[in-house]
Amino acid sequence: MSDTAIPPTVTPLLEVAGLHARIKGREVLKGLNLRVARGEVHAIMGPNGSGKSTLSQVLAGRPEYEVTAGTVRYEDTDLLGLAPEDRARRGFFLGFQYPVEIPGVNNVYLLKAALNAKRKAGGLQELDAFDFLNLVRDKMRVMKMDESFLSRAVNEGFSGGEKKRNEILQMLVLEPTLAVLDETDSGLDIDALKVVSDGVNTLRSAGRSIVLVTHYQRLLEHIVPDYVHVLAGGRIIKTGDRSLALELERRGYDWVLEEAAA
Amino acid sequence: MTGAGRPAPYFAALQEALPALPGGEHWAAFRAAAHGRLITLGLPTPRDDGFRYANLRMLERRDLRPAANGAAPATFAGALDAASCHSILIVDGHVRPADREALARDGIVFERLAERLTRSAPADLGFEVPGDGADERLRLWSASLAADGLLLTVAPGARVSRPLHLLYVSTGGGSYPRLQLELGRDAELLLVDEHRQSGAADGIALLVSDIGLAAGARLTHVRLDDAAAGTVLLEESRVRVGREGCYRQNSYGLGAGLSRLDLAVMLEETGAATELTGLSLVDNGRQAHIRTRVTHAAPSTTSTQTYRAIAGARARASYDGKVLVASGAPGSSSRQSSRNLLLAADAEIDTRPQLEIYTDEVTASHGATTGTLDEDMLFYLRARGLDDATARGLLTYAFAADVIRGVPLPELKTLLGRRVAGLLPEATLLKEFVA
Repeated sequence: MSDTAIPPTVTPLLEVAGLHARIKGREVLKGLNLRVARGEVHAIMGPNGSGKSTLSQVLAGRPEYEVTAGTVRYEDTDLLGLAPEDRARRGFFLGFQYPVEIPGVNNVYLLKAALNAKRKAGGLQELDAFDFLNLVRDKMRVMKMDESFLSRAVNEGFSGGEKKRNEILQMLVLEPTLAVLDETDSGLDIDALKVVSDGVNTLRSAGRSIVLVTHYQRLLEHIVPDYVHVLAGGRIIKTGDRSLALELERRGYDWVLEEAAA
Repeated sequence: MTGAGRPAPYFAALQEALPALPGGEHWAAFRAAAHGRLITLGLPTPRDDGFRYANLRMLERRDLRPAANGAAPATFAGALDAASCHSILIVDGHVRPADREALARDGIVFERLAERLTRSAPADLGFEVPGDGADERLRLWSASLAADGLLLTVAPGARVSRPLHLLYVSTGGGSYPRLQLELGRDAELLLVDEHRQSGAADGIALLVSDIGLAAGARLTHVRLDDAAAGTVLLEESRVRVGREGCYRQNSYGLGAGLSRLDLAVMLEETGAATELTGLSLVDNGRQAHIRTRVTHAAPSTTSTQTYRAIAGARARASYDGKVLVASGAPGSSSRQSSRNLLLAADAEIDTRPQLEIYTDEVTASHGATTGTLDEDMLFYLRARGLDDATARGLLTYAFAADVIRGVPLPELKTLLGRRVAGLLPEATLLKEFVA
């Protein structure tokens, strides 16, 4: 093996190891491990209260959550050491389960500020107004969104489905390297689910990874994952492929919990 | 008998100033009566109902004597482009020459109190010695020193095409200007009052204004307080609104060491309306206080009040608003909204909306909230890549946005937007948003 070609080390895009986190003194994540390689789509499923949303919030850097042990590597950095905005600027994106309404802050302004903050951090020029609006209009067509979204305040008066579409619109404009979508399918009717899924699918690529946090396997009919994980009691207790999601839908979670306890 | 007690030192200084003031013996007697009553009553204290938030005790250490008419600048750049409006400059309470002919062409008759009082007695100009209630004390103080001010009438039916800009500048010492404004039937006017100081002055300005709107008249009155930290700005304003008339006030308090507006609006006749909006923006120990009293005295009268305050480090703001619907005012409606944002742990905002109703068939609502920036919103913005300072700035701006949107002049809207955004340490992104 004197060849100078060193085999490429397959470092995962995201590596969560032994993660413990708590909120208001209550431990929610209890030693969670997760590896996501570039280009992969992972689905994280689990019963209510298992820690799915906590994982999303901790990865995004929500200050109220306290990480008590474990590490999270993202690309070549310690993700937990970064402020939320720095995570976003390095290509991390959280699609919120409950996108907040922000009266008085224009939707397009937020999009532009977010995109330019990311471009600036990456050493790129800010987009001028014309190019930016063209970009947004393109992405709005993908999301089948009305022009009026441009002039409205962030999520203000949006229906549940419109808020989720707006999250995916932001994702399409920001083109993240790693997107964690927290229950993006909840509250969507069939048509909206299709639009949102199509939007997510346009972003699938070899360099980009997506983590879907969901209750239901119906989203996975549209966005087919490479891996399906079961999160329960603050840890990932089972990992499988697409068929695991179908089995969970058919049989519920009890059998997995029993299997894990055995 | 008044004046029996030994006057406080700050009043003694005022007394010395009295003989030098202009006007004949009627005016001397008028001022002496007001002064005597003021000495007996003293300055208002926080125990007085209308002054529980704005503590005027600090005035006792100030030189309250009226500033001489002299050294101040002949021109002063205000917030409005002088070419686009009628402009009158008032320096330390003294009215500077203005273009009377241009005003007259637009239906505005303008006289200076300093000129009129040499030939008219106080009663002829509607001046009466105020009573002795706590509410009257600042009026007594003003009456005791009344020497100059603006007497304005707008002709019936006149639609004044350009804004009337009254620029009040304080250079130090006391200013006691008066404003009397009467709008004739169906007249329309946009009035912009701007209160500034020149240099690092520690002046005190007390403006007393009396405004009357005849039937169908419409006045939009913009107030802008924008002065140095040492300046005290006090305004006592009374407005009467006739049948189907509408008085709209947009008040923007961008700072002064202490500012206090006491605004009383009397909806005198059927269908009279008032819309009051205000934004107070204070930090670094500054104070902005607003007190309103709206009286619905006739049927089918309407009032809305929308006040917002943002207070930073060691700053104080207050809204003390009272609506009274009299027994003769059925079919009236009233709405009061006071929302407040605390940006620092040592900031303080007091709000007290009150409603007194003496008739049935009234629609009335009031609401008040005081809080800090919403943590969920902050995190959402940061999760999209906006740094903490920008996110806070954006949310602060957003808080005030609905009030700023209603600013009647584009240049004022821009100024206010930039000032709100500029409160924040790193507002590069915001400037783009505001422009």
